[in-house]
Amino acid sequence: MLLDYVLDMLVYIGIFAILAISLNLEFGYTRLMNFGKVAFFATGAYTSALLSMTGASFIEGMAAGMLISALLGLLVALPTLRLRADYLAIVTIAFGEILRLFFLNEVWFTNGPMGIRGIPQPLYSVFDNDYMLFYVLLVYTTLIICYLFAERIVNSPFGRVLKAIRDDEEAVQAFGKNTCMFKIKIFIIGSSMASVSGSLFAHYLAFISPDMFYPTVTFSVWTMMVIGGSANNLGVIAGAVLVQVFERGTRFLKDFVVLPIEPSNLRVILIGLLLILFLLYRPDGIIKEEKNRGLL
Amino acid sequence: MILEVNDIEKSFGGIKALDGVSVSIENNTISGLIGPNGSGKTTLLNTVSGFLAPDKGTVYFGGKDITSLPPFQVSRLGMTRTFQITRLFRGMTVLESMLLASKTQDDGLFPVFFNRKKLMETERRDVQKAVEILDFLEIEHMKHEYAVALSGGQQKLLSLGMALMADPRMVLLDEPVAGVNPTLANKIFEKVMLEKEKRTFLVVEHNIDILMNFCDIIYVMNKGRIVASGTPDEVQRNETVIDVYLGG
Amino acid sequence: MFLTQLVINSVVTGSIYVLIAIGLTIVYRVLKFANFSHAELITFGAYMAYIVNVSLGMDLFYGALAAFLLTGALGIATDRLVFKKLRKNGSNVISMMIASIGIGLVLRQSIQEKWGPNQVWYDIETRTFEIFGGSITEMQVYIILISIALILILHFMFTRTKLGKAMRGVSDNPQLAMASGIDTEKILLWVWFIGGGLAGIGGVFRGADTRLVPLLGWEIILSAFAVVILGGIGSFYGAIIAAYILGFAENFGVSILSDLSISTGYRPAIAFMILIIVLIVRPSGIMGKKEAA
Repeated sequence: MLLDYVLDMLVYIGIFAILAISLNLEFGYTRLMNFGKVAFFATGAYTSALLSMTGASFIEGMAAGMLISALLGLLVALPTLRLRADYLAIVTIAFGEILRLFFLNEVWFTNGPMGIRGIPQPLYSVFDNDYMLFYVLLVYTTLIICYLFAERIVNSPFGRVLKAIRDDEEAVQAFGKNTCMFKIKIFIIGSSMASVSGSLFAHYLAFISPDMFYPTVTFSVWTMMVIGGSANNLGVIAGAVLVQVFERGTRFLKDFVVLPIEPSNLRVILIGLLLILFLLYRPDGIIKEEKNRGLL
Repeated sequence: MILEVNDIEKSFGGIKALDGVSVSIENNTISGLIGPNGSGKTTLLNTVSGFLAPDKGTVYFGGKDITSLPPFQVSRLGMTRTFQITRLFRGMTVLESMLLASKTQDDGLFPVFFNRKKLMETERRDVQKAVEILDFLEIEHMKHEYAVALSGGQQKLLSLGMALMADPRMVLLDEPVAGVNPTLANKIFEKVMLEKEKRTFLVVEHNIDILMNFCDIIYVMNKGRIVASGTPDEVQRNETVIDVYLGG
Repeated sequence: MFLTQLVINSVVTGSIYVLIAIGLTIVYRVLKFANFSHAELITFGAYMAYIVNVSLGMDLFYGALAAFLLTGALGIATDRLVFKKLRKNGSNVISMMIASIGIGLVLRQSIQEKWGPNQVWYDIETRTFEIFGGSITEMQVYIILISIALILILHFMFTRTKLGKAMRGVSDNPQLAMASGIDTEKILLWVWFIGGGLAGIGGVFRGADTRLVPLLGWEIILSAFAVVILGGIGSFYGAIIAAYILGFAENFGVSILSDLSISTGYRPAIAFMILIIVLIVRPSGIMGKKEAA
């Protein structure tokens, strides 16, 4: 029983850590205000779920999700990335909501508000009793790949341009870099990575429905990044651990103690408060961005 | 002629910031651009470097029409500019900033994963070049400091260094010695002099004395027009110039 | 009947959006950031009027008045507790946008904690009039008339009063305004008070026209942002025109959707489409100053 709680929490931490890293690439390193992270998470979840219901494998579903998320990312990025930062924030937040409406309204396709049940779980028959353990391994292998991938990017000349764009985009253009292309590329990468995390999420729960993809998911990932320390991939993983331990912890606690406040409300209120307090008193987060000493 | 600006006009909300400006600059020279505040110097620099599109007129660089090209394309053609208020990257060290400025960087996504060997080779070459330039500018010892941790004068040196790192045919310097002590200011211009055989400079500066010492040609702007140009001696004796500066 | 009814509905929708959007745009203009917690200011106003109207049993008019004052005060409180501190820290507008999300989460969930997630209604009579084959409720008539009255008052304030001129001065050039002896921080208080207050009244309108839920403000915040960007960020008159354009676009759009047998649940997508089209065609909006991106 307790072990199941712990394993469940570990899975959630891993899934959200991937999301946090993907947001970190976009915002932490490049200052792209993606307030619609949940859209790409949901795209991964739905693509993967729907495809696997028709018999596709887990890997195929995940790959298709990444591709579709990349295309959607490009679509969102093209009209907005050349404009002011706040336009991207507004457009992505809107995009996330519209996508959720799509999943909610297209009943023929997504089964609408009832959601998709019985999503096949990869290698279930092989691991059977130890399935949770297997899934933890699957999630953490993916997380490690995503982490190494992100580290490789940010510690490269490409990543150097991203950081420079974050600090002063015009000045980067003066050195012959087409900054818009860099922003589009990293936005596409971030969207695909979020999609991977969505696929893991869908196959873990074996059930998804539109009400799992409210904007609060996005903001909880933002909180992980802000409190962990933006532009530090280990930091945002730490942030994911903290927020998830707290989120899952209150769910766990509610089975044992009576809280004066409805736990689901308390969770969101505290996430909001954490976000504000860190911005005010510790804007660098728990772990600061590291000084880069170069590749050599 | 490396740079030919023909009859450029640029207005902001009805006010003509540039009112028919023409400038021709020869290869391997240092040209100065002076004039009172608001006379249009920085606007001219912004227009030439692609940060502003002119309303009228053309800009040719190395015989190529660059009017209204975006800044990154202008820069790729071999013209690099610095900014009046030094705009350094907050989260980056001196060395990183220098590397960013290099045009030979392998900054695509492909080499990050699939051509690591070539990427590291370019990186090694770029670091070597960066260190040479930093050494030349006498700030090599600061290479692992954050760029914003440098003193004002060192920051000016770094932005000159970044411009040189791009190895441009032409450099536009916007107030390279503003707020810098006279000794260091002279040193900065001496470095520019040493680079003259390799490239062409156009310098906007309030410190007129220093321009008189180092420039081949000086352009004087007032109210969006070029009101005088010539060698430092000619300009110093020019009645209009004296009027602009003394008469306001 | 249909056309008249659509026009009536459009004008009502526009009248609900207009005050909300003006509130959002003046904060945007002066503070330079997209305040996402505006959504929850709207909701807060709606529930404040609910206390006065239902809990205290008074007329909704007093509810709207209370909503204006209390939401204005809440706007000021968010500034004092969060945004002012961020300004003092030298944080940029990006931190303020993120913080506004945090404030929104705290407010929305606190409202849900207090009043629950289910819908509630104001205690109002619903007399209905028939005109040109369409019907309009007494409440909707009030919504239209009060909006127009408030727009006129605001127009007078921005053009004729010292306060209105000072607000414009602070937003156009804060340094210059400060140098000419304007107390910038005091002006900011007024900006928050008026911006918040208008959101509060907009919330009451929306609540009276539909129902009250903790997501009330969130449901229409995208439309409000679409109005602000279509009108040109910071433009008072742009926001007025754009609010009614969006009112018409949404109501006619929904009617087209149902003709095409597409779910009317896509109503928010209409604002999104408009947003995207504006960003592609004319990012500075209809009345906005053209500026470099």
